[in-house]
Amino acid sequence: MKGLGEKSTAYFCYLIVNVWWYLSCLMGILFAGLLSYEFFGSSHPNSIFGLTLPIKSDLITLKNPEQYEYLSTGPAKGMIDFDYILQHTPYAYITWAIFIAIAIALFLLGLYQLRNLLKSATNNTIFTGENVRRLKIIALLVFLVEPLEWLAYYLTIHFLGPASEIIAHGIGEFKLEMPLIGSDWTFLIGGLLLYTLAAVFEKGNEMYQELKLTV
Amino acid sequence: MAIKVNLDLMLVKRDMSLTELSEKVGVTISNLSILKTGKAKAVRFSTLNAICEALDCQPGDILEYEITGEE
Repeated sequence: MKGLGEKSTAYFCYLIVNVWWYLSCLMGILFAGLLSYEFFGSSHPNSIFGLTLPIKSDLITLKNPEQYEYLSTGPAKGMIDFDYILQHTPYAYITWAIFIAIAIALFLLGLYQLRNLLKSATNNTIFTGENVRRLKIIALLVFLVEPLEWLAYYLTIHFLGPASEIIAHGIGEFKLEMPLIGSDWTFLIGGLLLYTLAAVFEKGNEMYQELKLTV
Repeated sequence: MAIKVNLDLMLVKRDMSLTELSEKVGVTISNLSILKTGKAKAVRFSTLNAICEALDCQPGDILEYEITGEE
């Protein structure tokens, strides 16, 4: 049996991702349970869940007007309590719960693929067709982050826009941010890099198959 | 594949079994089967050298180029 010092880097990465995977599963189950509890259970004004929305800077006022001499306000974010949304627009709550469930499921799928990829690396069977498929799935999920983020904003506008009483009584107007058109290309570049890695793995798999048939 | 492997023919000529050749050459039977059935993608010079030595033949006796329409 190998000692701890002789274990490969892939093994330690696998251990970390494995723990992360199980914790994420647990968190996912807890999250689903809490969302259901919020919906079916009694009212809890101090909910731990909320919908974060950007607030225009001109809507923010400082407590002491004298502070304007040396302080300026920028855009801030406010959180609408999910319980409040549930009471005023239950349909919005259900849609958000479904959306969050899908987002968590996609995250878990990506993490599961990464876990299996590292597991195969510990078994010295890294260049396989299955791993190429796994990498492509992870790349696709990374690509999906930005559109999903955009969809989240769209849902916010669609469901909370007409619910003017929430906006008036709560945090005021909010403006739509378009992350897809913004300057954050991290996920797009990340996805492309993963696709490149998948192509490298594809070639590696081809070479490995050739090596296996070399006498 | 345009390269045809005539290993089975040479084995018959030398009255030798695949197991016997495997022992003499030091290559597993499964690998020799891959070579014999033409599934092999590449042959090492060391393997070819050992096979020629064991069967007392030339590489040309084992490998043959076959003209096919597809290539």
